[in-house]
Amino acid sequence: MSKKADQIDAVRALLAANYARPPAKPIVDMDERGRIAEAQIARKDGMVKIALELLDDSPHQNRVIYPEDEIDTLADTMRTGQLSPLRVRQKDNGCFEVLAGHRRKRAAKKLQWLEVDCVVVVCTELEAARDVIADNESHKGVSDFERAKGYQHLIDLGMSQADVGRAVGVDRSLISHRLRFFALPAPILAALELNPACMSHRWVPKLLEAIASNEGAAQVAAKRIEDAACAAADDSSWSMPALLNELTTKAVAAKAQTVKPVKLSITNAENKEILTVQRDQKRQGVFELRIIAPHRFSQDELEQHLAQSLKDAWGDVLGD
Amino acid sequence: MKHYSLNQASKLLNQSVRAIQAVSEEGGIEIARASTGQRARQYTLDNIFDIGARLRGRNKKISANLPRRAITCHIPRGGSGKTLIATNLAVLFATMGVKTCIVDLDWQGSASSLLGYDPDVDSTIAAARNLPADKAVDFHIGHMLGLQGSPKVPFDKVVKYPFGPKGPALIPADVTLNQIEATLTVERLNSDRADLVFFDWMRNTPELQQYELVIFDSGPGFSRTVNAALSACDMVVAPAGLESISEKGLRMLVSQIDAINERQKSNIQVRIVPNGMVTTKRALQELAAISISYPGLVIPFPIRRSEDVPKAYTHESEDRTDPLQPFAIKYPLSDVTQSLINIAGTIGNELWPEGGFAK
Repeated sequence: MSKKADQIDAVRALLAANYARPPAKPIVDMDERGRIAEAQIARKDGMVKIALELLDDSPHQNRVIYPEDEIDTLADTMRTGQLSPLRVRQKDNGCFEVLAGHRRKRAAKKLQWLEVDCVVVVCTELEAARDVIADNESHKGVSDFERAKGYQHLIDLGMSQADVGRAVGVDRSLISHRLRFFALPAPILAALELNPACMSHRWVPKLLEAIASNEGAAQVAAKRIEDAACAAADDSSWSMPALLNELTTKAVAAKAQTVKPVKLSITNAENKEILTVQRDQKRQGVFELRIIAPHRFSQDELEQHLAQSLKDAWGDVLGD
Repeated sequence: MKHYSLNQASKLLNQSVRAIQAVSEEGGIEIARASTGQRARQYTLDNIFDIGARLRGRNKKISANLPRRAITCHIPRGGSGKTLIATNLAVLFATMGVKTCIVDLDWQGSASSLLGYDPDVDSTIAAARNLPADKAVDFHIGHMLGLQGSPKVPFDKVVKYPFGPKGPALIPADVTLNQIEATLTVERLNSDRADLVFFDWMRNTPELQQYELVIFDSGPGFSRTVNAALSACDMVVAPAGLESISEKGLRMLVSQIDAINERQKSNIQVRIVPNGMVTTKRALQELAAISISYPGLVIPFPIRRSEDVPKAYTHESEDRTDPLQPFAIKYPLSDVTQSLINIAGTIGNELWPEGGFAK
């Protein structure tokens, strides 16, 4: 066989090999494409009014706190009419998921409106999450921790850090800085859920450093963060430097005094839970015990059940 | 009227001689005989499309219910073979019994002339110059869209059947088609609907519902008309002229389709058909290079460069009265026709993976 014929055969073999790939995604049927196009055009063409009760918060919402005064201010500006529509998508149950406008929805409720202007979009789960989180990114009142939760949510849905950065319009390095929140131990993260605005992401490395050397410090920090959430908004006693200071100076003491759990469950002889006791610290040295029981107990019974268990578990914290 | 021997018909239909004889006897299709010599059978194109449709029903290889699909033949560079591919696919799918409609979207009307019409002549000119009125082109797709409030011309007045009602249907084009470009540009400013004019036309034209395949033969370059044609289809068939491959054009086309898919949540495919293959070292290298650059996209049946291809575009007689014909019809025995048949089979298989097309 000639050299030329060999070359031609080689190219033909290459063509066949490169063509033989697993089939791509199937072709989208014309009717389905038409339906999507109609919905997209309807979205551009105009708004619809949707009853407030049909609007559900997005499960992708990373924001946990909606400060009352912020909603009041927004409601005041909306009193004369709604300037920008909410962005929503239809759910399978006929209700709508809010993608942008969670605060406007709350303000409208406050104004006792029955319906609000919305644009309905068609999008995938990931796009919905992206919309919600990108919308929050532009709001001032969202804390670093809430933002970090949003980024983590998008990453859990399969996006890379770089993709998240592009989607929400934030530099990638800031994304990774904020994501360091998740290096904190679980009790602190749980406390941050209650009080997300208490610390900026810049404190995370210092906090990690302060709690690295002893386990008790994490519990103390979690408690302080939680307590600060219960305190009044104008309480100025909270500050991160103060907490760090406390953690480092009291590190030794904290280590010695292992912090007891705040929930205690009391079981009977058959190892069945009969009582739960929750311990809330009101201020230094003063505790409130909340006893949760499935049915009524007499005073005697209670004392009998509680006395020994409490002494065993919290004796050193509670004193007598 | 051109006639085909049994051998030619067998090649064009990609079926055995025996199968063709059997189906024409069963169906009682009358085949003319030559008046001289051995009185050989003379198959007309009408016979061939008839046999093709019956073979589909008889062999049941190709599924009886194919969902409607659309392809757009497009590449930005002119002279790469868009019309060659589009017209031949229209003819060859029709020989497989697939109901096909080809839409000429090039204002130069090259597909219309290749299918035997004269886009430069309308019925007024034909009457004045004593030309055949049935070859004149009065309307194009733009007349059916009702753009800017103009009255819609009904489908029946626009459609042509170049090879009889059993062959492919044609929506012709002429130079006035260029006017829709300006209209679409203005409409695009207000709405996304401008990009969907052909898609909506396909969905909303009742007479079009019977067609299983719509082929858009797009003009060169990028324009709103081209964009609408790309947005309407399920697959873009891009001929790559191997004498000088337009790699930039290909890249641009692929990224444009990606953008449309992203926006419309569609899954429009791109398939590249190498055209004009010669066996010089450089040409083979280029062919290998695009096959590597676009894995899975290059259809492995390159069309050889043939001196006959340009002949199909030019009139034989000096007075230009002989109608032009798509390559496969003019040269059924050529190996280029065989490549085109293989390409049609491959595309059919991709458009309808369960459709029963030969792999």
